[in-house]
Amino acid sequence: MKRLCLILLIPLLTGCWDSENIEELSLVVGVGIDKSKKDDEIMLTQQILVPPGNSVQENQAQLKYKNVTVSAQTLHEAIRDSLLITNTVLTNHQRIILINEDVLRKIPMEAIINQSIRDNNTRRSCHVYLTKRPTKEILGRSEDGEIPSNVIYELKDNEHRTNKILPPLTLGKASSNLQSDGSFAIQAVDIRGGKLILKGAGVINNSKLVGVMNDEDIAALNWLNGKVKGGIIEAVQHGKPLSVEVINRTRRKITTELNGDHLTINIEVGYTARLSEDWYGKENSFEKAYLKEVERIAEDEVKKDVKKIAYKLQHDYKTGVAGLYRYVQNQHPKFWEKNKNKWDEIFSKADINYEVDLRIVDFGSKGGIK
Amino acid sequence: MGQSEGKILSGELAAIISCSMLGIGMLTLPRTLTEKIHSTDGWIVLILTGIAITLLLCLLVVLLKKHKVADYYTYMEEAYGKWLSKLIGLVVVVYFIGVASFEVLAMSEMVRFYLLEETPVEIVILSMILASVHLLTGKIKAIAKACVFFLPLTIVIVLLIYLFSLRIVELRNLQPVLAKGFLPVMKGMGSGTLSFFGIELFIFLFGVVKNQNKIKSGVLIGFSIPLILYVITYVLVVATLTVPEVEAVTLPTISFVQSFEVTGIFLERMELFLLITWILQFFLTHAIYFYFAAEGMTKIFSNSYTTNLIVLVPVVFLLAKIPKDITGILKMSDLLGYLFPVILIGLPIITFVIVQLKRSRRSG
Repeated sequence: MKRLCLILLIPLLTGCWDSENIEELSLVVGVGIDKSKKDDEIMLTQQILVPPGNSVQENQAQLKYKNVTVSAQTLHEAIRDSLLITNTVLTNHQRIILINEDVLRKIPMEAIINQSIRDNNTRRSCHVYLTKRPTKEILGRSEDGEIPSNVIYELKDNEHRTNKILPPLTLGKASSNLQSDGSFAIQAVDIRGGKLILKGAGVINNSKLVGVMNDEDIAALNWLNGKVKGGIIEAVQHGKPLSVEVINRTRRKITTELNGDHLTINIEVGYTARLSEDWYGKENSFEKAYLKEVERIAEDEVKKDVKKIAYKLQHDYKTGVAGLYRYVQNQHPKFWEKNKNKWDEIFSKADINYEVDLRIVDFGSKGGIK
Repeated sequence: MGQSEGKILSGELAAIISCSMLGIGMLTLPRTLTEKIHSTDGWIVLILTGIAITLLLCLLVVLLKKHKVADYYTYMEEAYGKWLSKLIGLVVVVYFIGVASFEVLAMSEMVRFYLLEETPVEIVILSMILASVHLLTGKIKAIAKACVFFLPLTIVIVLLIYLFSLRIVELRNLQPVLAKGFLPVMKGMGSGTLSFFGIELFIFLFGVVKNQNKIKSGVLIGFSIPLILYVITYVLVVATLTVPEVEAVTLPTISFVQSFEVTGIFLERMELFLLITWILQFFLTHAIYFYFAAEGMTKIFSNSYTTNLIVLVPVVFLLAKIPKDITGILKMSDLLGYLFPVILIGLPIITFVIVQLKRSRRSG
């Protein structure tokens, strides 16, 4: 028995097979994918964390990251090629993937994210962004030595304050979307005044980039599918601007009606709001009629924007990025089963009725101007 | 002690059955089910299959009780005679060895892919086999204790992980319910058998339970714990990943856990905990099947149990080395999947009929 115990102890000696010193690993926080100068190659930029305290000169400002760029035909080959420059890369902690517009115009998105989805280390929770500029430039833009990947990653937390940001698109969600109807919007990142900003969005259909949207379009799209979580509605009353801040969604009801092959989509959303700014000199928010008027103006503003984006989706991009197909699938499964390949066409011809109900529940700590 | 030595309680029976069912099945279940029916109704399939198996279990318990089966191998001998029963017993043992190898193989693949890339799989497999041999020297009582200890741990950790996941689950993805009618659901009934591996073992455990009256409740509780976990898993995974994506990924349950990060507490990534608890479950499933293989051989060849344990180590190891790639592994699971209903349903019912005929002839 004693001998058996000794034999059983042997496997314990194997614990160190996979050990790797942490300073010899390259922790990747973000990657960028560009088109290479060579025609059929892609260029991969990996942003790698540099642990502090490695530099000899203490007082010299030291970058917290380094970027490694390599070109290859496939993504995995590029990652392997980067090993000629840096230590073993570890994508466990990767937070973002940036994809350049040019890449998505040529190569299907499905192919671009394929490696990341298959990989055993990359998590499905990492975020995907689009860029107009080369991703190499974006990943190289740093202020005060901040790590660009982290800066971009953290910007998404502002979702509750502004409606000009799309809900974050995770790798897993992108993959699911590509597997189902394949059309969705993807947040874009840009540089303005030397700073990284979230700006605009791309429209993906069938794995390809079919168009770009600006910030107003994003806000309108968020209104359309009821994904607004905060932000401001700007409106004009009596020739003076006012802003209404969105507080909470109170209802969202999306119904679809079929009349033969013609689809009607009815969207009703309700929000509570706050009158947060009013430049009109004769404001009197203590009076109900005044607030009702503001509500109506703000509602009209939203409806106008939504109408614009609905037109754009139906006529310019010809695709239903808003995820409305889910409602058709759920409410008319048989119709969907028959026509799911023609969804873009059906959506383009559909009637979209949009109703928004804003209820101003407070007006801040001031309600009247003498 | 005396008579009750080596006997297990009905609660321990339940834990053993649960632990032997929870294995690779839970990680692949959403895919295998969805692949068959191409819709979101897999949870209905699961519940219906669960009800069907529950009824079957009740029937089997009644049948076995009626004949006062204490030891299944002697019972088979009564039915088929000495040599034929040994042959059938051998087939059963081969099946047990097969499942034991398969579980350890699946575990090693998972470890290789997600945890230890450089460590040779042989080492992982071998250390798992040796560890279970060590556990098995304590026979069924030791296994029962291990199961009773690990099962609550597994349930708590898995439910905790699922709780954190609720943020990203979109139940809308589970609609429409029964969009394609009831037919695909009925067709899907047979699929996902891999997840129910382990339930057949209660037939062989019949003799060792202390309180014979509580067997039925023990078996049913042991069966319902994994079933409930399966339904929850299916609902969450499909609601998060959507149907086409579930069909596309290899281990949907792990992909699902990788889809979110928990912010606010120290731990962000939950898949590690899932992997760790699942290695435990793999180990227990493996050990339980290993035990039944060794026990069966002891009954058939009437030799020493310890010898059989040691003889089986290389057998299980080599069998686990046969499939060369992932398709080989899938083929192996299919092969075992054919034997499973035979051992769960065919064998006990046929044996019952034959014994019933023989006994009535003798008395009549």
